[in-house]
Amino acid sequence: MAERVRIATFLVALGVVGGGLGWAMLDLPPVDATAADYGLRMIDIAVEQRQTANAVAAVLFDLRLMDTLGEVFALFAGAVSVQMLLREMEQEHTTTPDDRVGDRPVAATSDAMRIAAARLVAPAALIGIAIIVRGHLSVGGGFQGGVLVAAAAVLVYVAGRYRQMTRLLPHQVLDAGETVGAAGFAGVALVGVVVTGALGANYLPTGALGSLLSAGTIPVLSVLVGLEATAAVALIVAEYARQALQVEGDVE
Amino acid sequence: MTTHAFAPLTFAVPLIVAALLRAAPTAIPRRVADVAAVVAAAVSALLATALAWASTEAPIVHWVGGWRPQGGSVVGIPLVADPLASGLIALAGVLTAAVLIFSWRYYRTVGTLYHTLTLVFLGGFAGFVMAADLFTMFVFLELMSIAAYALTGFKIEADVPLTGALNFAVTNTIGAVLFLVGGTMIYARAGTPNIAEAGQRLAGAGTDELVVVAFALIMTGLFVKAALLPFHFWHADSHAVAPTPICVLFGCVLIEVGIFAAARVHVGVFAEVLGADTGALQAVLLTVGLVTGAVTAVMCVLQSHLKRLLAFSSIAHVGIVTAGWGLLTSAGLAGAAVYVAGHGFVKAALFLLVGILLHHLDSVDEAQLHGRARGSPAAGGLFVAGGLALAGMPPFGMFTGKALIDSAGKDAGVAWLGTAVLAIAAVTGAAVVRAGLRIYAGVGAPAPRDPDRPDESEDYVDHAPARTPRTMIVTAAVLMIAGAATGAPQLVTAAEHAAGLFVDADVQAAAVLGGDQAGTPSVDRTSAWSADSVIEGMLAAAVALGLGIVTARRAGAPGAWGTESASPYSPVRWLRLMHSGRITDYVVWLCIGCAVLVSTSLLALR
Amino acid sequence: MTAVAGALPYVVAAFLLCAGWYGMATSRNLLHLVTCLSVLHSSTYLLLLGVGYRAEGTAPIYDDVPVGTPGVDPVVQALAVTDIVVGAAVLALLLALVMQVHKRHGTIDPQALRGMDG
Repeated sequence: MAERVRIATFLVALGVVGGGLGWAMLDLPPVDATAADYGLRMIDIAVEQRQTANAVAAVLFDLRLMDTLGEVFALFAGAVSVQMLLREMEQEHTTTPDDRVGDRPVAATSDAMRIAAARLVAPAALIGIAIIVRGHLSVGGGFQGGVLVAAAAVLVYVAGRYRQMTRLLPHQVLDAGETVGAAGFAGVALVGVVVTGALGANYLPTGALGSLLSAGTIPVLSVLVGLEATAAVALIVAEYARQALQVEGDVE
Repeated sequence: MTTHAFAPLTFAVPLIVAALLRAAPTAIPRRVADVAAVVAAAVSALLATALAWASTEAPIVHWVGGWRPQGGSVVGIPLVADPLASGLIALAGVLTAAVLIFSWRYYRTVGTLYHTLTLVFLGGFAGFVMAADLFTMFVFLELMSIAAYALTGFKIEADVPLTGALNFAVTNTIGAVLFLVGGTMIYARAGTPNIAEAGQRLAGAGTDELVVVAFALIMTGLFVKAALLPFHFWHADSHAVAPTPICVLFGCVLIEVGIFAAARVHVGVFAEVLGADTGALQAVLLTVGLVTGAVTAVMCVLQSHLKRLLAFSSIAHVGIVTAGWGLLTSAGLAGAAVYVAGHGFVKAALFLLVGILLHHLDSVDEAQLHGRARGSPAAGGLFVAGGLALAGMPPFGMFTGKALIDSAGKDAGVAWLGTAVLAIAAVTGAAVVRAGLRIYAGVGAPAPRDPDRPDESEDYVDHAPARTPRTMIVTAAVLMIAGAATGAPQLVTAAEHAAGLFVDADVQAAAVLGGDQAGTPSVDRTSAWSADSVIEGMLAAAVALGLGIVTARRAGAPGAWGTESASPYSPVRWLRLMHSGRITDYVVWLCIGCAVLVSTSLLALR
Repeated sequence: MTAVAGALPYVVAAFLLCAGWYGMATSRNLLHLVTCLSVLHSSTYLLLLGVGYRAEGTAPIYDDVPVGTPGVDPVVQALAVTDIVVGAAVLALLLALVMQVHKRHGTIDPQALRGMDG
C-alpha cells in the first residue's frame, strides 16, 4: 500500500515536472531556426582568427578552454575515484587471473570474437591516434580519439587476452599517462598566464588553415587530452576487470 | 603579475598540483605530498584573499584565453572575482589547508589519491564560484561533485559509506542535469550562456513559461547542492560517513556554495526579468529556507550520531542563510554572508573535536561516548562553546549574521524573521550543547546502547601518539577564535559593501561587458552590534544552554522529547521514517520538490 | 506537422528525462538505476544539440566544405562532448560503488539497501 502511494505521488510530481518542461519547450525556437548568434560567431572567429578548420575543436581548446579544463579534470577525477574505490581491502588478496568470477566460470571466448577483436586492435589504435592528431583539422579531437585508443586496448581483453592487456598497459604507464595529460593540459594553460596574463591564451603561431601545425596551442592541447582520455578510460576498464577477475576475499 | 591573473590561479594551482601528486601514489614521500597539498590549498586561499581586497570597488574580471568581448558581445568565459566570491574561495582554501594537515593518516591506505581528490574538490569549487557562465558552472559543479562523491565513499570497508556515497552521487547528478536543462533553455532564449549578457537580453523580452521553468529547474539543481528541503537527504547520509576532514568541507562550504550560485544566477540572469514578482519569489525562498531550518533542527535534536547531528545542524543553518538571501536585498545577503563565515569556522572546530573523539574513543555515538571524555575539559569547553556559538551567542559570526538578517527582515516587512532564525539556531545549538555535556561531563544517565547502530570506528587509521590530539585541539581552538573574530564590525561593514556590489546587476554587467559603471552601488549599513541584538544573542545562547542541560539530564535515549514512546502517528516518527536512507525514496522526493518549484514558479512568477 | 517536427527533439529530451527518472524511482537493481541515470543525463545531449541545429547547417568543420558555408552551433557541440565525458566519469564512479556495495551487502536491490536512517 505504501509502495502504491509512493508511486502515485511520484507520478503526479513527474507529470508536473514533465508537463511544465514540455510546455516551456514549446516556447523554444523551432529546431531548424538559426542558432544562437554566440555560437555562430564562434565559427567565424575559429576560422579567421585561429585558422582552425574544426570550429568545435577551437571552441573546446581555445574559446571555451575553461569548460574543457573542467572536463579533463572530471575524467581525471573519475579515474582516480575508481582506483581509490576499488582498492584492495585488507581481507582481500590479488590472485593470478583465471576464468572465474566469484564462483562462476566465465564462458570461453568464441573463436569469432577472438579473431575479430584481435584484428581490430591495431586499426582502432591507429585510427584513434589519427583522430587525436588531426582533431583540429577534421572531424575528431582529443577525447574522441583517446576513447578509441583506449577501446583498442580493451579489445585485447575482449579477444580473451586479459594478461596481455595488463602487460600492454601496466598500471604505471596508465598512471603516468593520466598525470602527464592532465598536468600538461593545466600547465599549457598556465603558461598562458605567464606569457599573456590570460589563462589558456593561444600563444603558439597560428599557421595556415588546414595544415598540421596550425591553430597554435589547440593541437597541443588536443594531444594532451587524447593522452589523458586514453589513460583514464583504459585505467577504469582495467580496474573493473581486475576487480572482477583478480581480487578475491571474504568481505561481508 | 597583477591581481587580475590571480583569479584563474585560485583553481589552476590546486588542479595542477592534484595532477602532479597523482604521479606515483606510493613513490612520493609522505611528507612531500602532505606539504605540497597544504601549500597548494594555502596559495589558493591567499590569492583569493588578495582578490577580495582588490575588488572592493569593482569586480575583477579575467577573460579565459584573453577572449574579451568582440563587437559588443561576449566571446569567451569570464571569471568574475568580487569580494563575496573571493571570500568564499578563501574560506574554502583555508579550511582545506587546515583539514589536509590532519589527513596524513589517510595516506597510508591510498597514497596521494586522497590529496589529489581533495585538491580537485577545491579547484572545482573555486572555478564554480568564479565562472560567470552557465555552461561553465555546470562543468565545474560536476567536477567538484565527482571529487566529493569519491571522498564520501572513501571508507569502502564499511557498509554505510558506500550507500551514502551512492545516494549522494545519484541525487546530485540529477540536480546537475536539471541545472543544465535550465541553462540550455536560457541559452536558447537569450542566445548566450554568459550570465550578465543573458540577463540583459532576457530583460528586454519579458517572462513566459520558458524563462520561469528554466528558473525553477536551475534553482532545483542548486537547491539539491545546497541540501534544502526536500533535497537534503543526501547530505545527512554522506556527511555522517565521510572522513572527518572531508565533513568539514561538506558542511562548511559545499552546501553554502549552492546558495551563492543561486544568488549569482538570480542577480545576473533573472532578477530583472522576474523583477515585478519580487514578493512572490521572496515568499518562496523564505518558506523553503525556514521550513528547511525548522525540520532539520528537529532532526538534529533526534540524532545520537554526532556527525549526523552536525550534518542536520549545517542544513538548518543553510536554511537560515537561504532565508537571509531570500529577502532579495543586499542587507539580507550581507547577513547571509557573515553567517556563512561564522558558521564555517565554528562547524570546522566542532568537526575537529569529533575527529579527536573518534580517534581516541573509536566512536561518534553520543550514547556510546557518554561520560567517556571526562578527561578533556578543554575540548569539552570548546564543544559547548561551539554549541552556544551556533545558537547565536556574541561575538561569533552567527550572532552578527543573525542580527543583520533580522534587521534586513524588518526593513523588508518580515518582522518575525529574526525570531524564527533565533528559534532554529537555538534548537540546533541546544542539541550540540546536550551532546557536549553528556560526552565530556557525563551529565544524565548513560543511555542504553542501540544495537542497530553500527560501530563507527575508523579502524584503518593507525593510532597516533598522544601528541596529535593536542595539535588538533589547538587547531580547533584557533578555528573557534576565528569564528569569534568573524563577528567583528569590520567584517560586517565589508560584507555589506560586498553584498551591495554583488546584487547590483549593473555593476556586474559593466564589469563583464564593458561600459561605464553607473555610479557606485548603494550599500545599506546596519549596526549589528546594537544593545538589542546583543541581548537577543545572549538570550539565544541562554535558551540553548538551558535546553541543552535539561535534555542532557533526562535519562533514556537522546532526543528527549520522548521519541521512543511516541505513538505510531506522531510527527516525529513520520519524520524519522521519511529519512529512510533509500535512494529510490530520495529520487521521489527530488521529483516532488522539483514539481513544487516548477508549479510555484509557473503560478507565481509568470 | 512542421510545428511538431520543430519541437520533436525537445519533446523527446523531456521524455527521456521523465523516463529515466521513473526508472530510477521504481528500480529494483542498482545497475538498472545507474543506467536510468544515464538515460536521464542523455536528455541533455539531445536538448543541447537540438538547440544548436539550424536548417541546412553542416558540421562546423571546414576542411572539405568551403569557408562560409552555414554551420551548426559549435558551442553546444563542444558542450555536448564535455557533458558526455563528465557523465562517463560519474558513471564510472557509480559503477565502482555498485561493485563494492554488491561485495559488502550481497545484494544490489536499492529497496533493500539503506544508508543511515532516522
